[in-house]
Amino acid sequence: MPPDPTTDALVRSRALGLAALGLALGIAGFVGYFVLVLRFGAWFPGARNNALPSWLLIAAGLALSSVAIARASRGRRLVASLALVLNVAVAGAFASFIYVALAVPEAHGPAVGAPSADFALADQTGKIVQLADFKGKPLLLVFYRGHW
Amino acid sequence: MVDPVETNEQLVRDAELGFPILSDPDMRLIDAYGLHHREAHDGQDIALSASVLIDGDGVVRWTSVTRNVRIRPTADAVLAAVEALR
Repeated sequence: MPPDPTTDALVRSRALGLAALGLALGIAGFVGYFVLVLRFGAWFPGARNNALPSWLLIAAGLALSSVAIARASRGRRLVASLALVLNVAVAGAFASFIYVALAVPEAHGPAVGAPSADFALADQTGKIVQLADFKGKPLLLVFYRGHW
Repeated sequence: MVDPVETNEQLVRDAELGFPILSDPDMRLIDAYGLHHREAHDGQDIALSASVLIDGDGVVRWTSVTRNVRIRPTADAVLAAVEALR
């Protein structure tokens, strides 16, 4: 049976909407990571280490963009293809930022099992804090950069 | 660049932190631990993100040094390392 021309036209006219939705999901995956980590990090402490939710959104977006190309009429295929290209660029930018730009040189830190280097450093009130102050107690030193 | 005492005072107050923040302006401990990141941010030297757990005898018992500033040990991982000291 030949496809119903009305339905067929409807499906094709929705292809661009699908392409736009796919791109929107891709951008949401990219931006969402930073919103989640920077605004809601206190409620989702694991979100910074694990970008999987963002990748799922980006993957769904890429899938929708691809489906949109298959469904688009010939005249609209170019626009749908452009949406996919943009979506791939968004995914590439996300990957290069979180895996490459945020990478730092490899370092091993102090040797485990060896005595710690001694220190005498001022706390936020100006009081000098030394390693010897923590004799008999465990001490956790966290080196941070920026405020995150 | 390492935050001075004044910046840390502000941060402890603003973020209502329950622990002290030490300032290592000459990067002495940062260097002693091998955590110096040269020309990192805006061409300035800063510390690599790291956690160091020291026992009551002053011996380093657990460390975590990141290869990506985004990835740090979770609170559970740090607490497990502290529990392992007991």
